[in-house]
Amino acid sequence: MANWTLESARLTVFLEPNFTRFPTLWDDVVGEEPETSIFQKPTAMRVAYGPFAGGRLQLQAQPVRLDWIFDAPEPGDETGKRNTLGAFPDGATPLLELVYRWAKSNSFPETRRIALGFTLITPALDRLSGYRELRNFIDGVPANEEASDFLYQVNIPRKSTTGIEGLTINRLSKWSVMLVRLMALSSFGAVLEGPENSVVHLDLDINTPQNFGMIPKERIREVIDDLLSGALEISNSGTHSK
Amino acid sequence: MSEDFQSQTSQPKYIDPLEELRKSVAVMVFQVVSASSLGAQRGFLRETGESDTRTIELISDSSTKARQITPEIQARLDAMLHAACQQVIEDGKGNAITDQLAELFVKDYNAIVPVLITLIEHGRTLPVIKAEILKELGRIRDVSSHSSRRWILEHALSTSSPFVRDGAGLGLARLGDPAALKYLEKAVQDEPNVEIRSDLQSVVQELKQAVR
Repeated sequence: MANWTLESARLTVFLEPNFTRFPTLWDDVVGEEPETSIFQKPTAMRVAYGPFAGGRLQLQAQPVRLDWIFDAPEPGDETGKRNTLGAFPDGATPLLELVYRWAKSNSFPETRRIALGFTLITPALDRLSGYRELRNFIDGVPANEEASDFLYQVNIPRKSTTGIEGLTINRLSKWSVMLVRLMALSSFGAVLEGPENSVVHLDLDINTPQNFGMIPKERIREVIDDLLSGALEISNSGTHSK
Repeated sequence: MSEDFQSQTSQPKYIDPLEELRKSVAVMVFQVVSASSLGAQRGFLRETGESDTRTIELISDSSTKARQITPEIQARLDAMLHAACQQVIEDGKGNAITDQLAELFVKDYNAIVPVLITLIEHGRTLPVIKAEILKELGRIRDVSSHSSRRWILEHALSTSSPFVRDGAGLGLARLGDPAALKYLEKAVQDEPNVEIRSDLQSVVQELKQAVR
């Protein structure tokens, strides 16, 4: 089992066409004003962000969806290692607590679709040892030592454990080995700095399906817990066919 | 059961002269597949990384990541709107929107939906063009993007322009999905324009009959 570290966590709630925007959503849920707010007219997107629990929290509100994104502070240190939010799943606790609080409030919208996304990494010595690590989780990792740019994406849906009739959970995962290096930007352009680090990279997108009916409001927390379970199942056991 | 499977590896050093052609064909195949069923994937080419390979990236229906519209699709959308503004928009007659919107929309609807919503709500485009877009959204036959198109149409029922509300009603009539009844019935109650209210009422009746 890999020791996954959390780079970022996301909760997405898809909105109904008659959704009325809560202008003070950030303040109500976080408990204080955001550091910065922006309105991007071309996509009708309102973005608010600010420091949160040792990382950075962002609320992206579009007509179709609301995204709460909890990121590690950028950009990382001089050793070339990126900052993280700590071990998974504990690193996601501040976001999940915020979401549970929101789910109980009146500002939580009616929704047909919810998603939890996590970007996880675990260090590897180099590309090949990263591929060896990946074999513990997924099929089809190339044996050829010259192979590079391997990318594997699969959705393993399962029935929801909430007992909500007809509800399934998509467990979409994307696996790769990445070479990470800091890039410094200056008026002369971008310069690569510091040593290269290899990481096994796992992008999880655990969500309820697109065409499901309304999710009962009183059961939102159960659904979020089920999504988190889905993320743990994939990050612990991978996607090997049993 | 697994869905949305994608695996990709590049083996450097080997250059196949037919590689580019094969990749183009693969992309076309993915695009055709995408229109056919739920759980399908949409493919597009993306320039990437380490070994200068071009890869096929798949957009799957089980993904919820927010997507940005590509400059190419934005440019084609702008060109379509520009062309439509030069044309006479009449029922039953083809125009740039009826010719091009379906292809653009189906290509990457998750990215295009926010742009269309903004255009319909706040854009300076003529109301008749906005209405034409809504009518066309109801006519596209693509299962994957169905609920996104219904969402835009339901949302547009409450806009301030009567042209746009009328276009949304016609779009929903063409879409023929009784799931929109809740929003249509509310729109009938709230509609101040007598003619549009009557049209919306007809759509409600049609959809109710379809349920029976």
